[in-house]
Amino acid sequence: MAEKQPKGLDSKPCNSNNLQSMGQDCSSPDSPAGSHYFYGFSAVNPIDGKPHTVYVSHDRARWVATRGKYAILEMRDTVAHALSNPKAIFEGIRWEQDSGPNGAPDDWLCYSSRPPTRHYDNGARAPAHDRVFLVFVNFAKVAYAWRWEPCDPYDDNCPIGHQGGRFDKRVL
Amino acid sequence: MMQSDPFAELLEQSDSLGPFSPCAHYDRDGDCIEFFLSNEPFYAIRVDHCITVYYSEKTSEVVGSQIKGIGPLLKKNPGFDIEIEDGRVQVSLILRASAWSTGDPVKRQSYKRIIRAAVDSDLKIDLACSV
Repeated sequence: MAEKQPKGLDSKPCNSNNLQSMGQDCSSPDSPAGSHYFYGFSAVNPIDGKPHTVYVSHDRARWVATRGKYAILEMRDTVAHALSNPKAIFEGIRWEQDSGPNGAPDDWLCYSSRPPTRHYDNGARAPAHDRVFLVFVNFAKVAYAWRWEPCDPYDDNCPIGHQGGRFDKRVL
Repeated sequence: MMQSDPFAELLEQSDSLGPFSPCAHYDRDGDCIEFFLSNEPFYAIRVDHCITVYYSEKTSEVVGSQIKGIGPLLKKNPGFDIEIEDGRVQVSLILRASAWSTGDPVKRQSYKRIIRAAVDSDLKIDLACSV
């Protein structure tokens, strides 16, 4: 069995119940009382520039942890930095589909940032040259992915392809 | 009352993890599959609206990928369920289902590379989470 569940992380395997609730049990980001959420990050709201909260699920946190401590530290430090200090925010990640999952309008967001340092698997923390750190946030303000990508050589605050139809529009 | 630090707890719990092995995961919030063949730091290159390939920062070898839009992909290919055995399916087959609608030769090369890596690792995923 190749799929790995972290030992000792109170991991809950996927089951068919997930099918019915896919993307729906996080529909109320203002009331994260449910156990679905691992943590809420303070983030810039591109609509009004004021802080709002972006959540990470327990499921996602457990998955990140399977890659080791540096991945956990990246979630804690780099994701936090990206959401609160974005250099750019793009809206409309799924532009090639008619709409987002569950028929929702495509108002998913991508936060693009230039964190001063990056965590490495040897415990080091060093600058990441020519890279932007992206955090992807769905309509319910849940961060479901993040990663480093090469920056656009003409705008090092943005990822390659940001002007080529990858996103619907830039909102920050 | 002091609140516990969930990251500190996660870091502590990660001590009990065994050695890394290739793994795949369906994220319902993003309706996407992510898989890793290695746990080293990586950079990502987006191939198209379906897949993004992860490359090692050290060696530029393929170390993983994200496959987006799993729900629509399975709706578009209703016969895909014949590939599911005991609720699980080869990740490489999901990649192929995306690849076969790609005409761009450069993108096809990226697909070929990531499919080969997924085949070599024999990665499977529980699709009961996504369909």
